Formats: sequence, structure tokens, C-alpha cells
Amino acid sequence: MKVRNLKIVLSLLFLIVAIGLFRLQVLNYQYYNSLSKENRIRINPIVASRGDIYDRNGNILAKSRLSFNLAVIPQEAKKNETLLADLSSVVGISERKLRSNLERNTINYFVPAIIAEDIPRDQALYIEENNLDYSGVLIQTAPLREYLYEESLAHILGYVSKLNAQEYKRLKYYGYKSIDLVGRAGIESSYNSYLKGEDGGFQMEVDNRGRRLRLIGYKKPQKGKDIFLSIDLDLQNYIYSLIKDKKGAVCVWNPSDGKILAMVSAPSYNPNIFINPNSQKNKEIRAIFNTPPENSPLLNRNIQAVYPSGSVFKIVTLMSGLETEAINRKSEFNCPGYLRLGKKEFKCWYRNGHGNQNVVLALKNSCNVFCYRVGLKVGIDNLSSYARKFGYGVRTGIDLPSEQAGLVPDRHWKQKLYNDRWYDGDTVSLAIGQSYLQVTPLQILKMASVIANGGYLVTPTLVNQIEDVDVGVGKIESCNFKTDNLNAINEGMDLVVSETGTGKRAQVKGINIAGKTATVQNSHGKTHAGFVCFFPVDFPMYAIVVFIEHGGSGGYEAAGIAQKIIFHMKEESII
Amino acid sequence: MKNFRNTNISLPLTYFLIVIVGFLALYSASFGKGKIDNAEYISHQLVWIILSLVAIVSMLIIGYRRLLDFSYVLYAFGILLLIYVILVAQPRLGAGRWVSFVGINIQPSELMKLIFILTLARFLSAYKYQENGIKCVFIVLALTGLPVLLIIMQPDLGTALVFIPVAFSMLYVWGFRLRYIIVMFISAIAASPFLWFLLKDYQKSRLMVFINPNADPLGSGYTIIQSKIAIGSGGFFGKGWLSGTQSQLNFLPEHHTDFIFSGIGEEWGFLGALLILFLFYFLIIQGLDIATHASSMSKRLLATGVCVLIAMQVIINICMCIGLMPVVGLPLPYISYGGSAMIVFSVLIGILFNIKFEA
Repeated sequence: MKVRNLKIVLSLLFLIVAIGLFRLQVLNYQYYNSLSKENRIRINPIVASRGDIYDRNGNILAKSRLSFNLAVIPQEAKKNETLLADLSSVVGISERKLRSNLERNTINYFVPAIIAEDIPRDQALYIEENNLDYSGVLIQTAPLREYLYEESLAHILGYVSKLNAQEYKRLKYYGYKSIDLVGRAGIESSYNSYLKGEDGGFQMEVDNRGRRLRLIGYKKPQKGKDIFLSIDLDLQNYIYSLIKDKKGAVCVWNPSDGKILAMVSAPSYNPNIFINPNSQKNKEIRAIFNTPPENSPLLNRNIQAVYPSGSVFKIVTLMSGLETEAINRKSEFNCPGYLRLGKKEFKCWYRNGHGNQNVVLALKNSCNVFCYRVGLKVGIDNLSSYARKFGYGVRTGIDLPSEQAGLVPDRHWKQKLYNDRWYDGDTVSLAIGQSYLQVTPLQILKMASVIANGGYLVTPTLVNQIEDVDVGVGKIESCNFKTDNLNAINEGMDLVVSETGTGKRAQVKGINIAGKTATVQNSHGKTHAGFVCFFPVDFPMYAIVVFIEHGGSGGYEAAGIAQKIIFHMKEESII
Repeated sequence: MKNFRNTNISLPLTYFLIVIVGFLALYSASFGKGKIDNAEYISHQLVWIILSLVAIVSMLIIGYRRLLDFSYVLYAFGILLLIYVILVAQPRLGAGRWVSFVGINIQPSELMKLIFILTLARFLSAYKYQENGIKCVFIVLALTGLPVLLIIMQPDLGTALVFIPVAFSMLYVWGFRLRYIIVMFISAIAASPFLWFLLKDYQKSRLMVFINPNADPLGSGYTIIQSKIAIGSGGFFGKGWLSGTQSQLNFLPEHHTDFIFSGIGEEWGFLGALLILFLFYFLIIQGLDIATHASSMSKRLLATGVCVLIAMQVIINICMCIGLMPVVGLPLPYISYGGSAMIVFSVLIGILFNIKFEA
């Protein structure tokens, strides 16, 4: 009985479907058949603009400008043999070129295919006005990306380009079209899904001459979301002007939350050359891609280049000594200018020796021997484990693509790679940041910020807001360090930037700065110059890392650049 | 197997006809004039069909009782798979619906349809409505709600919603009063504005498009219009097999899967479409006959669940193709391209055979 009722209900539903089919296929056959036969439905897509990118003060950094594309409906081009020749005379592009573009961009006989991009406005208007002479020809508008500050922000913003054939094959199931732009680097890449808008378009019924009869539907294109960065445009440009002829990286952030105010890498490139490339631009693009990787302007040296960290690593060594209680604040070692280990002699940079040193003085003077001894006392296992606690060996987690993780060497790693055991000699070179250690400049900044903010690892972020939604700050983790120990390191770093410290060139009148220099030996020539600092010491609001490849002495070159930046920030009353 | 000789072969025959017709339709969608698709759809689908026959034969050997015995374990397993899909399977630009198992991608939500019917049949047949009515109804609602919510989260609204008529038909056949079902139905409609907020943007846009197909002429609206043109232009006799106007169909996204019926309507016309509709109807009526004559409650519930599931999918899918329903993304059983659905629905048919031949 109940099953019978169910039968009745289902039978009724099937009947409704049958009636629906009857209506469509028998009653309305004429209408749909005409639509189908003459392919009288045309669609004309409207590409949505990408979201704009702003700095923290609302200055626009990347925007979209309107461009005109010439498109034809492939079927019409087939019917009308002189069409492409006519168009060629209007836009001044060879017929052969137009034909090859048509073939490449044809998705379907009835979907307009673009044959010339970014044509001048007057040509576009001419074609639009003479629409009847050019049946099946359309002018489509499309937004084009424009980067306003070219080289200075290239590594942060990245650039966009069209999908290549392989990517299109993979992404077409997710609604991407062959002409869609995707972010290739920087914010454009990591926030692509927010910046990308939703395309709209018309669907219309046309007569057999291609004239518009009726608008069947219109979908408004939806612009992508605007992104507001934590970057300070003025500071960014100023820093770029300081280092644009050098090779290196500078980053300024807030040490308590990792919000980045400026991030500059040199050499840089002009992202606009990737937008609608022509032969001239293509030459430049090839030149960029042919540069050997270590000199590549595409490299964001803050996060994509690794170096031995040099003396800034002494912060890790000394902290591991204090935390493991291998030493305490008062422990002293004598520095005679070298440390003898078996047959080998490990030198201090100050050949005459620093004499008796404690933690604070060792930092101030960047005494190698003191750090050698601490390194030997805590041992390699502790040393590499503390290096990891300070964030080395893992990505900082910044919201940019292709970040390097660097390397913290340990026994296991050496055994695996070199099939050799770990020697005390390795430990002492690691204790001063040499040997196999590899870090990115941003990791140095992250480490120094642990001292500045009272023991927390922050996650760097570049974005403050997406549209009107506050993004907040990245993950913040406690390192569980003792406050006394942090204070000891802080005190030492404070003395580094004093009249008698190694970083004295970074001094700026009226601002109390704590820092650490690094002069990094490398196999390619002149030493790298590094400097990391934070200020004001009592309540650190800014931290800076400067790393100049083959820049010479950290205390001279890098601290000098940091001084200019801090002075500029003071002048512009950022501080 | 002895009983096999004693039954008429109409049920298996109907099944085979549907499968053959479906395969011809898929073949046309792949190799018709000017089609740009590759042959792998055909070879894959052939493999699925063979595996489906294996599945049916195994069903006859194992017997539905064994599956009923394990249904609670299977239910737990199915739920875990659904959770896994949401948590682990990478939701690339929208929906994560597949899990990989020894190199084969399976769709847990399809598998869950089978498990769900088994579980409800076992649970309800263990109780009587007159004794534990209300308590059981609430448990069934919970058993239904869990997979429905998980599948909505994938997000796959269409598959999730098809569970609901199945659950209520089984409750109804079990003994639940129609008037309560109607009351629940009305309150669900009253609550639906609140559900709106749970929907993903693309689901909202699909519903909006259903209300006004011209609102999104390039997205779902476009699909509906093109599908209607394809079916409508088929007329009474159709344009002939392999002779659909490919231009329209190449426009149609998913014309191998969810919109395969558009190709059938275009090429085989009203006659062909009606034939397929009739084959499904005949299959379901025979299934419900099995339910009527079933000797136990568990058999009756199983047969009911299977029939209502197949019926709902057929009705929803075709209504979607002819613009009577929003595009919800449900495949046409036995015809749409896809392995998980093909095998699961064949196992369901295997259960019907099994019950019938046992009698």
C-alpha cells in the first residue's frame, strides 16, 4: 500500500519530465532549431580587472588600465575572405600575423578570438563605428596591468602573464581561459585568487548578418579584490635608491608582529616588460632569464638567496650557552687572539686579542674566541638545536612564493652528505656563523626580532588588508627563553651600536639602537657585509636587516646603510 | 542460482538496455562529427562497465545479507572517508570530492549512497514503528544529517540533497506517517532562508541562475541555455546518432558527465529521450514491485531505497538538462561518464536482482 503510493508519486514526477521534454522538443522545436542551425547565440566576454595593490598609506602601487583588443568570430573570418586583409589595413599588422593569431586563439567557431591586442583607441573607435562593414568583428576591452614604481617594488609585487599551453590544459577545468592572466611572482602570485576578478560578458542573439537582435543576458564583470600592503612606499623607494647599484637585500619590519615596512632586493627588474610583450620587451625578458642565477634580478635576495650568516650567529651561540647554563652572565674567557684546537689555530678577527671577555663584551666586540669556547662547551647538538629555535633552517612563512629554508648543519646531516663525522673544528666555525650554515637575510631579521620582542618568533607578512577585511598578523610562537638571558644579549647588542662598538657607524642621534654586525667570509671574493638592528631599544618598533654581497665589512658598509635608513625614517617622522 | 531460471529476465534486460544506450550516447559525445575529445572516455567507461558486471555477479554470490551485516562498519568507514576528503584531499578551486586508492580515484559521496541505504535498511528493520517510532525517526535523521552535512561541505549540494528523499521514502515505507513527513517538509522550507547562508558563492549563483537563467549568461546560465538549445533542436526524431551539432555541444561543459542527456535529446530527439525515460521508469517500477512482494522489512526497505535513489537522480538530472531545475551536478545513472557512480549504481541493481532471485 505504501509502496503503491510511492509508485504513484514517482510516476507523476516522470510524467512531468516527459511533459517538459515534449514542450521543449515538440512544441518549441522551431525556435530552438533556428537558434541551433544559425548559431545565432553569440557571446562576448568582458575580462574583469584585477584588484589594485596599495601601500599602507593608500598610495597605489599596481593598477589596471583599459586596453582595446580586436577580435573576430572565426566562422565569419572563414566566410568573408577579405576580412583579415581589410582589418590588416586598419590596424597596420600583417595579414599573416593576424591569421596566425586567429588560429592560435580560436576556442570555438562562434566565440570571438582575439587577433590583435592593445590596439590604439582611435583604431578601436573606427572599427566600432563601422561595425556593419565588418560583420563578425568585435572590439573587446580588457584591463592591462601597470606597475607604477617599476624596479623598486618588483620583488614584492611580482608580475602577471598569460597561462602557457600546459598550464591552460591543467587549469581549464577550474574555469580558467587561455587568455587569463596569473600572478607569476610576489604578491601577484601568492594572492592571485584574491586579485583575480570574475569575468563577465554579453550573450546575444544575432541575425544571419551578425547584427545584434536581442540581448539574452549580461553578466557584470567583477573586479578582483584590492590588497593593501604593510609597505611604506616612501621608505621602500628610498632604500631602493640606496642599494640599487649594489647586490643585496634590505628589510625593515616591526619586530613584534613581522609586518614588513620595506623589502628591497637589488639588482631588480621592471615588471612592466612582462605585460603585453612586444619584440623589444621580449629581448629584455630573454636577457633577464639568461642571467646566471646568482646575478638574476628576479631573485628576491631577502628570501630566495642563502648565505653563511657570519657573526650575527653569535647571538645564537651565546644564547644557547646561557640557556643550557654552559655559561652564565658573569662567565669569562680570555681571548689571546686565537684558539688552538689540536694542530689548528682558529683566529679572532682582532689579532691582538680582546683579553678577558664576558657575554656582553663578547657581543659588543664580536669576539670570536669567546664564541668558539661557548660553542665547544654547549656542543654541536645544542648549537644546531638552538639555531632551529631561532628560526633557522625553516622558511619564515612570509606570504611570498618560493622562499628558501636555508640549512642548519648537524652531525646527522654531515654523515649523510659527506659520510664523515662532525669535528670540533666544525663546531667552532659554526659558533661564529661560518662553516656549512646557510641563512636568508629575512631569517637573520627574524632571529634578531626574538631578542627585540622578548622571546617570540614572528611570521613576516606583507598584507594588512584585503578589500576592507583586516588580515591580522601571522603566527607568533614563544621560544621559551629566560628573560635574564634575553636581557644579557640585548645589553650586548645595545653596546654594539655605541662609540666603541663594532656597529658604531649605525648610530643616529637621539635614537637608542641595538644591533649586530656580520662580515661574512665566502669563497667568491670580498666578504659580504651584514648588519641587523632594532630600535628604540626600550620599546623596539622597528628592526632592519642589511645584507650586501661582497660589500666588505659589515660594520662599515652595512651599518652605514642602516644608519642612512634610520636617519631617513627619523627625518620623515616615521619613528 | 537455482532460482534464476524461475524468474523472468525483464529486470536484467532493462538494465543492459540502459547501459548499452548510455554507452552509445557517450560514444557519440566522444566521436561525433567534429568532436575534439579523446578516446580515453570510451576505453575508461568500457572498463567501468566490465567492472560493474563483475560487481553485480559478486553481489549475487556474496548476497545482500552479508552487506547488511557489515553496514554499520561500512557506515563508519564511509563517514571517515568523507571527513578525509574534506580535510586532506586538496580542494583545488572549489571542490575536493575524490580520494585516491591504489591509484584509482574514487568518489566517497557515491559510495556513501550505497552504504547509506544499507545502513537505514538494517537499522529500521530491527525496530517497529509502533514501538520505538519517534526515537528511531530521530536516529534516522541523525544518520542522514551527518553524511549530508559532510557532502555539503565538499561542497556538493546535489549529491547531498538526493539523500533526503531516499531517507524519507524509506521511513515512509517503514511506517512513518505521511502527515509528519509533510509537517517536516514544510518546516524545512520555512528554515531554508537560513540555509542560504551556509551555501558557497557558486551554489548561490547556481540557484540564482535557476530563478533567472540570463543572470549568468557565461556560466551556469549559459550551460542551461545551450543545453535547452541542444535538446530542443533535436525535435521529434532527433538529428541522428553521431550527428549532433557539435558546435553547441562543445560549448556545453560536462557534456560527458552531468549533461550527457543534452546530447541524447539532440541526436535521438523526443522519441529517444522518451525511450530512455521509459527504460528508467520501467526499471524503477519493477524495483518497486520487488519491494511490494518482499518477504521481510529489510528487503522492502532496501528495494525502496534503491528505486527512489535511481528515480531521483534520473529526474533531477533530466530536469537540470531541460531547465526545470538548477544545475546541481548529479550524474545520470549508468549513462554519465564516471567510474564511482557506474559501479555503485550497478551494485544497487545487483541488490535488486539478489532480492528478486531469492524470492
